Amino acid sequence: MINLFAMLAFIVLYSFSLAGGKHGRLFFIFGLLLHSGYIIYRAFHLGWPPVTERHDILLLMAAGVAYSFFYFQKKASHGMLLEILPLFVIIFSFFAVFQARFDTIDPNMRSKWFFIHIAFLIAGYALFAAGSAAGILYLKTRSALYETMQYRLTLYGWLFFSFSLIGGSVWFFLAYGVYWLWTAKELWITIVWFYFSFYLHGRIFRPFAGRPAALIGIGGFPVMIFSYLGVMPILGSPWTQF
Amino acid sequence: MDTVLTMLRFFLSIKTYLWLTGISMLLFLLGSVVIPKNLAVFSLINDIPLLRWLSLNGEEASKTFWIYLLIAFMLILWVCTLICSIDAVIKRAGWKNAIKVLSPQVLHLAVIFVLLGHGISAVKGYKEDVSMRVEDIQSVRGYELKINDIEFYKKPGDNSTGWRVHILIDGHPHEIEIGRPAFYNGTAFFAKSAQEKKMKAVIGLVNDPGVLWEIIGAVVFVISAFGVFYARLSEETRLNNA
Repeated sequence: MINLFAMLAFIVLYSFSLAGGKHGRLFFIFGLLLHSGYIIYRAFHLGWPPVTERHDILLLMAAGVAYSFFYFQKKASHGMLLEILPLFVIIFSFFAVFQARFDTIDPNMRSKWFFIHIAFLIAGYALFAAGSAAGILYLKTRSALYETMQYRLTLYGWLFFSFSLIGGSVWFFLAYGVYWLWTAKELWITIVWFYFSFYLHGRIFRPFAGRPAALIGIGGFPVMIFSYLGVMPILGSPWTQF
Repeated sequence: MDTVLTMLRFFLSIKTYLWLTGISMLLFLLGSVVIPKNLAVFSLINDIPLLRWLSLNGEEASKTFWIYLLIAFMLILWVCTLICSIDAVIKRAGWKNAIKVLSPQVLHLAVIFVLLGHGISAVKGYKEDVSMRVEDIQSVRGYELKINDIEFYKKPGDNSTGWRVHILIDGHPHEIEIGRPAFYNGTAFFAKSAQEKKMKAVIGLVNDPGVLWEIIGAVVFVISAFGVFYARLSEETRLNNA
């Protein structure tokens, strides 16, 4: 119950921050402090880095997007930032609220390769989301700086996501003797990888330059969310805790 | 000569790459819908090399045609990536900005290695499981196996018991446990499951020659990714200082 209360509290604070301005910034910072505190509490509660279940992973992705606020502020501070970025933080946190908490760890997950897999997955997805936020800012402001930011954030996200796939393949091979599976989940992970590769290459294809490329990049966010949360319940992929 | 030039232009075109990845994504999407709906057909796909599985399921073409198409598209993508990288290195290589120019091409090379690994795994190798009790001796795929002992353990917070199998492979002692297989003569030996009451374990043998190319691809990818990070970050620093 306290868990739910804490999560709702920082989601509400993030929602208030959407109003923007000085007050919006304060709400955002308080939301982020509470959010970070909750993640630290989860780590102590589990006695292990909170990377073994979907609930914690989504909250870490949300925190990753929230911390990108400072990168945005340093590079290109714009009043509109608080109208967009917290939306992505709220979406991740909202989905986290509805994920079951197990508070137990499969012995297979006590592997450094599993940790590498999930840590880079979190970083990659957070960067993809931050890239989408930059893409929306570009569409709204027409500032080329945001277009470059979208490209850079997505490129770094894609590299981190690739590291995650490498870590995951090593982990899975050492645990089960295969590095890739023909399941709906793996096929969708491959779709995410190809999708962002498509964006990174499409950006230099003249007909896609500017607005179309930005839209393609933003479109990666729902693809990524479906890959992580939709494939298992909707398409029927084997169940995993993470 | 004209035909060669036309073919080169086709493979060097970014448009070709975008079409190939776009259609490949649609095929992966189709596969993610087909597999969960036909689990009986696809039950062995992850246990034997892909091409052997396809030859065994020749009469299921209506459910497997997308895999044939995917193989064809991956092959064209492989050639396309190889030709584009060679072209870029020939046209742009030089000591000045070497890291910036070469890192993305080396990254492409990594993808080529990874796809090659997948190709080899699809053709060669085997997976075999054998159930053995303590003190049993069995000959599997030319290896003589003997289980000396099985230890069981449970760490605080774990949701299941772990096991450690003390095994002799051709007379050489090895300890194998969850996530820690033994490697001997190009074959990996896994302790896939164990029963405490019966003191028996399922030992999995995996011989996958594609793994070596996957590892080479992964190492090259990580090194080139650092090159990409370095080049982008130096560019950002240069722009900030300008």
